[in-house]
Amino acid sequence: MHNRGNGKGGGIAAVGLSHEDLGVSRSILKDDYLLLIALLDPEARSEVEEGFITPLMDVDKSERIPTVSDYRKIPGLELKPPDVWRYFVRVKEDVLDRFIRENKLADMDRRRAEDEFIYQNSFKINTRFYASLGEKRAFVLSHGRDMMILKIVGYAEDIVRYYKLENFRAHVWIAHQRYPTKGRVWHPGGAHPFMGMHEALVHNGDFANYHSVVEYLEQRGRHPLFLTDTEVSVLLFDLLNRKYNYPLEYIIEAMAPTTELDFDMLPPEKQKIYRAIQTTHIHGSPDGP
Amino acid sequence: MKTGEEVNEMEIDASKLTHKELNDAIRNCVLEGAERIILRNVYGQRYIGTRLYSPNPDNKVEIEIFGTPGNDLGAFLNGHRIIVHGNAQDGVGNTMDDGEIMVEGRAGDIVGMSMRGGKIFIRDSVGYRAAMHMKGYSGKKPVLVIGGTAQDFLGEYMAGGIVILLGLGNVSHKANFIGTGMHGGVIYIRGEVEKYQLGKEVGVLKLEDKDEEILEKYVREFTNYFDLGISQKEILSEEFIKLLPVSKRPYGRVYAY
Repeated sequence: MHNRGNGKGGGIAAVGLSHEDLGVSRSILKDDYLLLIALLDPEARSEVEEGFITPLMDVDKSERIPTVSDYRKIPGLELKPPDVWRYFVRVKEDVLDRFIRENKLADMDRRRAEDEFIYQNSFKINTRFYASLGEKRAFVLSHGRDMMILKIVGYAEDIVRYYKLENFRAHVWIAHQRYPTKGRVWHPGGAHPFMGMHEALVHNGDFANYHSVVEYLEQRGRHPLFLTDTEVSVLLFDLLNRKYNYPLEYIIEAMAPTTELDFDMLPPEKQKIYRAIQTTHIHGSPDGP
Repeated sequence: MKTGEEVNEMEIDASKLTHKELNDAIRNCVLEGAERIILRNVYGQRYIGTRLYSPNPDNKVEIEIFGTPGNDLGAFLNGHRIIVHGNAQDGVGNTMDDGEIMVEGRAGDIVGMSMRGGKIFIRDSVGYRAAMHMKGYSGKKPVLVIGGTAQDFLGEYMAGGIVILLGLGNVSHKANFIGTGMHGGVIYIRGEVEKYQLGKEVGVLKLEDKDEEILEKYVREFTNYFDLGISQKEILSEEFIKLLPVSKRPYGRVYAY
């Protein structure tokens, strides 16, 4: 699929990793968040760690993802990919207690509260160190458990070569070649996949109602940072999934409403629920080719 | 088609080729006189089998594919024969003119779109809008046989040719809008279909003797090509329905002033 991209954005996601390949125990891989940080400016690492990782989290392992020595050895790779550091982390107990207290999350399952802490912390890192239209020093590639995302300005297969993943094992892979055509078309954070909480999402086509979906998200406290419809679609998924706690069926209905004959064929009780979902979420439903 | 050692057989490893490089290589094989071309490690390359026109009508090749061919497999196919050992993606046989395509698996959307001749056999099921705008004229009669079922808009705007949907493997037909806008050709369906699943432009008819002959012929071919575990006789022992368009110009009044 090389020729479906133009080298302005390539990405991969891997889910269901091997604890042996990562040099951690099985339980650390299963329980810890795997935080991947792209450093466009290697100097930013200590600021990221001291501000957003070490005081807040117990780090079970951290390391720089190994790379080939010189990116120019890979034909076609025009820009140096970021240094990527990975951290196996859990939020410190006292930090999480305080977060739960301050945000009144006592009713929430503790693990879900920890998810929310990680999610908000990544948002803070991204707003502090990455501006799509300005200075770009670092950003979070992914933060879910037992999964990782890598992306570069280049082709997806160059990620595998540059970060030496030829023998890296995972149960599920996504690879994406970007062919950006619209807007501020490329910057390192603009490549797919985009992260939700424990999800990686790629997409093609575009939303005719991108701005409407952005407004819908902002009214609900979600602020897109990367200027692309793919990011807003995963923010939408995460909002419906973690904030509204919808089952997958209702998430799908909110994002892709059932209409016309398909709607008429539903049993009346289903129609009632779907109509309520559509009334509430139609403005957040992606529309277009 | 010759068999055994007589056949001039060539092989291409597609694993590192883009669609253009692969199709150039196939074309070169044909120009060098290949009669059978084996493609190995096909990973989604598009348009395989296109661009193989020869002014000599006897100059036909058989292309055997291992892997997953990409969109528009056999588009504009000019009388060649394609066998896929695996699944196919969208647009199989797009506007094909003549020849045969066999898929030992399933195929994606718009199988046989605008097809105007030749035969396509899909062992399993297909996606949306199969046989859309299939057509037939002066001795050209395209045939599409699907072993499983199809998604919505099967035979949409169909203008000619034959579609046979076999419903094998205990599948139920869930497609809606079957034959919407259909104004020529015929669709045969084995298995149950509710009235609401059909487009407004088709009527349901009982089979006549000539329909039985058509089904016998193409179901035999289908069972010969694939290892199905069910015989032609068993398939034909169940009831089929026939869909025919109720009008030759369903939208005549929409566009006339």
